[in-house]
Amino acid sequence: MNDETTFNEVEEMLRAAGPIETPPAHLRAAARDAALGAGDVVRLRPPVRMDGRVARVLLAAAVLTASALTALVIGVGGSRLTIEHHINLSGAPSAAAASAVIDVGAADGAVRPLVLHVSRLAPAPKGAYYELWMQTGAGDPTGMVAFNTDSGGGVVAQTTMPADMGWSRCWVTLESADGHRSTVLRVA
Amino acid sequence: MRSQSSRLIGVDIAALSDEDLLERVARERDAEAFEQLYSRYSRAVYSVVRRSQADHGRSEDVVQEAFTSVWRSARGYRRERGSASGWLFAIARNASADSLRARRAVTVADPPDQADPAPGPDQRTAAELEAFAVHSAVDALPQREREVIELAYFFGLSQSEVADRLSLPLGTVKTRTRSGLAHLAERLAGERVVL
Repeated sequence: MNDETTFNEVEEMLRAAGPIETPPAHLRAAARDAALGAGDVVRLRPPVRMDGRVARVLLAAAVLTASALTALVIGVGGSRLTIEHHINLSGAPSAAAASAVIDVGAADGAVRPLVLHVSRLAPAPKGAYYELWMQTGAGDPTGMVAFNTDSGGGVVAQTTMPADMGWSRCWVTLESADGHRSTVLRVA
Repeated sequence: MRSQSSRLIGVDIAALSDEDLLERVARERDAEAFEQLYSRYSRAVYSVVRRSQADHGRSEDVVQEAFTSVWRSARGYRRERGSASGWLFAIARNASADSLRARRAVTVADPPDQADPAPGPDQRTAAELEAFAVHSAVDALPQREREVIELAYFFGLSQSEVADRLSLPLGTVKTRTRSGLAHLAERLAGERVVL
C-alpha cells in the first residue's frame, strides 16, 4: 500500500472519529484521589481559609467582575459544585456540531457559580474570541465570560453571576477582531 | 514515594510503553505511571464516555470510576491478550455501561415489527473502538502536529485557515500535517475495525 492510500485511510478514520472531548482540568486530581485514595496524594499547599471579612470583600469584587468584566478563560477547572440548573446550548448553523452545557450552581452568598462546558467548537480565528451572554427581560445583555477553545474544540470556563440575577436569554457569540459579532451557540 | 524512587533510579516514565506503565501500576503501585496513563488516555476515555452519557457531571464520575478501575484492576491486564489501549477502552466502556444500567429502569417491550436500521451493538462497539484508537493516537502526537491535525480533520478547516489560526506559514502547516499523518498511520496500522 503506498503512502497516499495509507494517508487517505488515516484521513477517513480521523473524520469518522470526530473531535476529541477534553475533560475539565480538575478531573485529573479527582481521578487520582479516587483511585489512589486521598491519603496517598501529596498536597503541595494547605487549603487557605479566608477570614469572613476578606471573603465578603472578595465576593463583592466577584459580583462586580461577573457583571462588568469578561476574562479570558482557557481550560479552567474547579471543585465540584451543587448544580441547580443545566442550560443546554446547541450550535448555530455556522457551528452546527458544537454544543455546550452551562451548569448553574447553588448560590454561595451574593454569587452563584457558572461552569460552561463547550464541545466541538472550533478555536476562534486569530484575534477573535468567544463570549457567553445572558439577558434578563428587556435589559441589556451581560457578557459573562470570554473564552477560546483548544484545538480539540473543548473548554471548561468558570465564572460567577449575582445570586439574584435571572435570565431569559442565553447565547454565545464569536467576537471578531473587526468588531463583527455572530451567534455560534444558542439555547437548545 | 514511589514516583520519586522511579526518578531516582533513572526511569523515564514518559518514554515507557502503555503496557509497561500498566505493569508498573500493577506490580509497584506506581502513582507516576498511573498519572502518565491518565495524561495519555483521559481525553480518549472522556470521549468514549461522552458518547453515551448526556450529562457532563455524570461523565466526569464515570471517567473517575474508569481510572479507579485501572488502578484496582491493573493486575488483571495480560500483555499477551492484547494492547493496553484495548484494555483501557474496555474499562471505559464497562464503566459507562454500568452507570447507564444503574440509572435505567428495566422495561419489557414488545418486539419491533421491523428491523432497526440503526447500527447494531457490534457495529457501534467497533466504531467506538476505532474512534478510541484514533483519539489516543492523536493525543500521542507532538503538540505541533496534533493541533494542525485536529483543526484540519475534526473541524474541517482548510490548510490556509489552519495557517491563519495558528499564525504559521502555509508550508509549515503542510509539512506538519503530512508528518502527523505519517505518525498516525504508523500507530494505527491494523486498527481499522471492519465488521
